[in-house]
Amino acid sequence: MAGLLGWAAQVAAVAPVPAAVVSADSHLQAARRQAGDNQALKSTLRRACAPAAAPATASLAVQALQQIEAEHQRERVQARPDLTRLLNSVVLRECLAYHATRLQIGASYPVWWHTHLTIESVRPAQTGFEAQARITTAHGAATSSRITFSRGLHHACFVQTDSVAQAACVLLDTHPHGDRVNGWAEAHEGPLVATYAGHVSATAVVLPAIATREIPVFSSFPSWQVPTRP
Amino acid sequence: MRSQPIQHFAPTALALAVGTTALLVACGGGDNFEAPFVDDKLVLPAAAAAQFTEPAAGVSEYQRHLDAATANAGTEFAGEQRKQWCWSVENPGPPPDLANTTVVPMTKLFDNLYFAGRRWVGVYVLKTANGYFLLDGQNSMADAREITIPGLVAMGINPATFKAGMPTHGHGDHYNGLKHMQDAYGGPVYIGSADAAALSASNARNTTAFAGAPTNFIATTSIPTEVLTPQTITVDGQVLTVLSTPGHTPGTVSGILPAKVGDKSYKLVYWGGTGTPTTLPLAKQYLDGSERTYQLAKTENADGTIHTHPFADGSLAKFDAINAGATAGKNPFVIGNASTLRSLSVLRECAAAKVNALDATVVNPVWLTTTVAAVGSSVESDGYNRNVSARVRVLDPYGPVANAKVTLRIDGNPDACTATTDSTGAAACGFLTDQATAGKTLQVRFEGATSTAKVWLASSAAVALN
Repeated sequence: MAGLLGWAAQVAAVAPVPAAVVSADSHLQAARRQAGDNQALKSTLRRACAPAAAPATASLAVQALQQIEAEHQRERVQARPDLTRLLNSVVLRECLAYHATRLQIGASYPVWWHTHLTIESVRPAQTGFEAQARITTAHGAATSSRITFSRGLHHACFVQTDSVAQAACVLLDTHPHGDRVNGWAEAHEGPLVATYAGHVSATAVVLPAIATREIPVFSSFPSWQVPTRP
Repeated sequence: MRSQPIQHFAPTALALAVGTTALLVACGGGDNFEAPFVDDKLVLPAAAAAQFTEPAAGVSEYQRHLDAATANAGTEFAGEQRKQWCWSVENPGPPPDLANTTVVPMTKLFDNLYFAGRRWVGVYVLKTANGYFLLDGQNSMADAREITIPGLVAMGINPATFKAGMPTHGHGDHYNGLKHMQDAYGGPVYIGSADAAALSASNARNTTAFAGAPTNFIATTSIPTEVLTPQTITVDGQVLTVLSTPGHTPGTVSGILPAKVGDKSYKLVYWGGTGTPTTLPLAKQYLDGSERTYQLAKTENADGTIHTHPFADGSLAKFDAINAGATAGKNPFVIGNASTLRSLSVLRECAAAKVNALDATVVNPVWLTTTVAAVGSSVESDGYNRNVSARVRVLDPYGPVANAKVTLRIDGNPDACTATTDSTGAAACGFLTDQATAGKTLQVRFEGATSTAKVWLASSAAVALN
């Protein structure tokens, strides 16, 4: 997104945050919690978080941290990101943040929390179809967070997650045409996409997540949709 | 320029400079000013209190951009327009305005530009040398037949002189009516290449939308979507600037329409697809398009905005004012470049907020409008030169802009000076010139500045000189 103006844009929120205090141990604990019982991740953690794996200097540690963050970013912007790879890079990143914090006096980096977004259901509703999704993260319930559901260029809705990190809403035609016949056909293309924006604070980055689900294409107007002309 | 400008004239430095000049005069050094100075008679009026409070540190990027949209809108666009540019960012449902199907009769906006349609969507008719061009086409073939064509006739335009049309994007409400126009009168229909399939027979909806027509497609001429710099199309000898701005749809096009009143020419910028995307890749493209459209409007010195969903940018209220004869002799579409850019800066901030609504970790600088206030003078020496100076203040909606470089220049005159604002947003400088200044205008220009978190947009002021 360079744009014609050459102004800086689209910088990942990964820089150290001097005002916040995130200890090295916080990163180690976050790495452990996110590795969970997954044997491959536990192996990654043992290897990457070990004192012997620490980079030789603070600048090398920061460099390695930036590299893994960039790698994570590259995967995340893929059309269909590999969730296993994303989680693996978050565990690695937390190990590197652990080392970088230990090697730099006063340095502080927000903890990264991998997020998993699941579309739990899609069901017909009186005025369209209702989608429901849930966010899970080792950080705890992602409550009061916006999830956006989208299908094609027209149909969408967004809603905040509830106390169990669940969100459901009925997709609306966000750009209806006066002639509903036309709008309907344009509204129903492609899969359902759920997007969780994530959350950024000085001490933690709850990472965004996207989930998709193929749903049937409506070949005719649903019974509830009465085509009208102005 | 014969002299180096003196920046930030402290009272002592000013006194020294004046003293030096006086000494030189006393010693027979000549009657000219030897060094520029800031006229001590110049006093900037006190700055008004900032209208908006800058968001506190730690506020989300989403909120930072929404707040900037509100701040940029200021009082000029505080109501409907701020609401509309950000509508789909802040509201899950559509704006109610999209349901208003009341007809807007063909309305003459300029000598060569008209609008006709419904309150939620319509077409702009641009008269060309031998006919006319349509920006958008109406929501339906019926509306083309029943609104566009009678409107053209009412304005003395022969409908058969249709030269070309261009839907801003491949949604039916923007291209359906062009099916009728092309079938009836021929002529090319331009479309952003990424939306071309929407107008083709491969789009099943066209069978319904074009029912009764001999074919189920519109023959199109593609404007390459992948070219993100301004492009031109030529219609009946009229060169039109278009800009690919994917986002609302993959092939959305924005651009400039030329308008005339008598022998005066104006440029109107249009944003081709309002309604922020609901997936991140398109939202990022929408943001990029909004930035490039801002740049286009700046480069082209656009005088105002139009929109084919006319409620989106305030055009609808202007139609109403024109049709009610309530324009007080002023064309409401001519709002000046500064206001045009202000409006587009609101759009840009809404677009940036949408990106953060879909990805909170993205950090884009906020774009802030700025204003320059200036007082200036030209002081004649006893010889042949003059000292031109000004005191300047640069503000953004949150308060003073520090470290802003401002340039003072008289059009057509090589002499100039630059100064940098202090923490109160104030700066001053002067320059010497041997050219007459009476009746001339001193241009005070802030070219804009950037930091990691902010982009201060350019602004300027003009001071009439004695």
